[in-house]
Amino acid sequence: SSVSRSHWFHTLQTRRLKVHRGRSNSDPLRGKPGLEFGAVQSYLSLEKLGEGAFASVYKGISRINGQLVALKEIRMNTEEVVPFTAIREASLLKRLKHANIVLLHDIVHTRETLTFVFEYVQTDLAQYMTQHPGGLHSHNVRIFMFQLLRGLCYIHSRRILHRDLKPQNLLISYLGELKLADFGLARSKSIPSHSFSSEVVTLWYRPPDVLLGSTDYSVALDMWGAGCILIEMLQGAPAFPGGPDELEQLKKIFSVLGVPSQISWPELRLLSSDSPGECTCLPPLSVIRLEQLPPKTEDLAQEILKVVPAERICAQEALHHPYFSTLPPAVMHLRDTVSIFRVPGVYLETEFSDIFHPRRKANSSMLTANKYW
Amino acid sequence: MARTGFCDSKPLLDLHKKADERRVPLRARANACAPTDRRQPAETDESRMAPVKMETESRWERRLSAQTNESIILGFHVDSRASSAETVADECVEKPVLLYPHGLQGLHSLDALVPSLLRHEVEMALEKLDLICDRTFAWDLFLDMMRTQTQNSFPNADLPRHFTDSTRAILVDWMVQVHELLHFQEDTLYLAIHLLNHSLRQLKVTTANLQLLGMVCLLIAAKKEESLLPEVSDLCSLMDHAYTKRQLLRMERRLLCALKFDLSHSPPLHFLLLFAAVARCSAMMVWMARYLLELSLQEAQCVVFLPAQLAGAALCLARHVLQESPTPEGEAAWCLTSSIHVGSQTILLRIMQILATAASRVQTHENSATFIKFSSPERMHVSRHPGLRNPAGLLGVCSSQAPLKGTKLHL
Repeated sequence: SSVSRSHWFHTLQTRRLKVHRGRSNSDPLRGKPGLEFGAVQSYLSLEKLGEGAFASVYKGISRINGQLVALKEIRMNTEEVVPFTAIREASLLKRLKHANIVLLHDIVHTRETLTFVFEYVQTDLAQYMTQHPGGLHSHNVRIFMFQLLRGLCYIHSRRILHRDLKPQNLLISYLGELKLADFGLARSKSIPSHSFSSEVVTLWYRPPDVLLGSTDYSVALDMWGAGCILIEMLQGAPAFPGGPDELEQLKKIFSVLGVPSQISWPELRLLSSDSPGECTCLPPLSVIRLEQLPPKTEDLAQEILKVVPAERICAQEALHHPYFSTLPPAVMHLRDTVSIFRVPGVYLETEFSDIFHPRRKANSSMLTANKYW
Repeated sequence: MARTGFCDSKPLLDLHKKADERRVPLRARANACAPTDRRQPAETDESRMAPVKMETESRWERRLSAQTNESIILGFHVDSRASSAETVADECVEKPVLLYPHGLQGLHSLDALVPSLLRHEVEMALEKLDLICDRTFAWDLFLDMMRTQTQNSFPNADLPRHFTDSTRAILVDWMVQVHELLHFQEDTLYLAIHLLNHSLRQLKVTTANLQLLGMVCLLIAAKKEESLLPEVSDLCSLMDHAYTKRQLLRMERRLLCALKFDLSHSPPLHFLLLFAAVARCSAMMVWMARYLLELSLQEAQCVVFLPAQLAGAALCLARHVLQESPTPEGEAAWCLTSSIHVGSQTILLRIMQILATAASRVQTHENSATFIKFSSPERMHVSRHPGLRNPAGLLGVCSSQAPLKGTKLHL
């Protein structure tokens, strides 16, 4: 029935478009002349979801097809330049069509604002973890991690680095689909690559090489973030909740992973040399001390969270790690735009916190989506 | 004499044809091989496709050997025939490797066709250039580059009214100066010129606002590529305050809307550096090719060509200009690079002609920003190279010798 309805809807639209512009404003959701992509009147904003440095995010509805959308409205008065983050995000996302990357539907511009129309995704990983404290169900962690790596593999093969991975930027749909969002700091790699600024990636998810001042970024940058997120999902708390500055963050990492030596990391000498010296009091360790993780999980975490960037596993290799062997094999051979939930046997388990507090789940689902989009 | 003999057999350089027609052979050949591709498994593919391709190519070869006698290419042929060891070494190079940018249907079966040597070389080169984030993705990236570059050329070189090729050249020249002054990366320049080409087809801009448009293209390109951005007021002062800040900002938004925020671009420079790395070109040759490639930005006619074609032609021409003494390793590497098919002979020759003319013209005037930029010692004074001074000689070389890109060599 949905097919026939959409067909009917389509014919209605095309017929209406031929009619001379009508004056009726009675039904805002009905197909009106001029309802097309790129037009302001095609979208109706419903409620405010959040506020960022450059933009406010609204939940909205598309009057073209009735879908829920997230409207990221970038304020621009005529005295301001278009923020470079907006330019990068839009130009990169226009090329990216993948089940694990947030979909940019449309761009709308008026005199005062520039609005990016994204698909509406209910919540984000940060919020999901707040609602389910004490660590997520290991089955769900595997599914989220697989999707995260799948999205990373896709952008990395197009030489795009996300550069700002954190739970807030991973959107989670009600089905459990994970989508990479906020490509404002992302960029494609080009020659020469040494002009990246080192002010990327929220401190907690920043790899040691970047903390030491390296600007020679590679996929290892995003992989470190993915590793931190894996640990955070498992233990329910950030992997390396460091202090206010880079040095504190480094100390935190080295206290867990050990201090790299000149032998294990020859390039260390080339980075700003003052910081690691401060940490030499800590014991040099080579093994992550994670509490009672299953062997495969621990092995993946260790492969990703290598202090030396060159040793860090890349997204494609990580997808083939035995940790994911319990997922149906079909998930490895999906087309880019197909979600893994289309594979029979892939589903989200109920989180433990929901089993013990069933009422809380009802409440929390009402509260979703008040932070991001 | 070589030139006439060449032209009467095949009207290669027909300038009167429209751009579309000129591109037909490339498409036609690409399409012709695609069905074969699908019907046959990879193993028999090569034997089936080879005769089709060889027919024209061998004609090339015979013609060449009859008419040119001092070309490096020919010398190499003789060399390799004489020394059997080298023929053996290049066995795997000889296979026809077809990377048709337009024959996208065939791309998925490429893995089976491409000799592992070339694949390995391309991956190594991409890694060396630091173009990839990780070795694992290198080949995917290369295929993606070849695939997406088709969005970067334009069907014709028509410019809007009141806007001639020479106006465009002046504007581009100024943009090169500004780019140099602001210490932007090379990628930014190529992207900015691409945006300029794009916007001239999308926007109605008066002649008075052309400079503003050029500046805005640079600004947007910088926002995508650079980590340090100039102040808008500085940009205005670079235009001698002919436009207000407000005008600049309005133009920026107009342009972004017209382009629908589509700033994707595969710069020809990436292809150039990739090919040069695979071919083990000397630093001098790379600079020469970069100079020629940058000259192509000023030529309005060049917008119809694919980035990989421009890069291939620039490298070929640089090779002809420098006439470096061949080494066996260098020649083998060059052969391997040539097996990356970027376009038909006709197209490459046409580009080389345009570039050679541009290079010799610039040498006589010596006030072009690109010329000055590439006459610096750190760029090895390539723009002052005596080989570029003689247009007749250059063009003679171009039209009588086969460019190596896309040639299948019979070793």
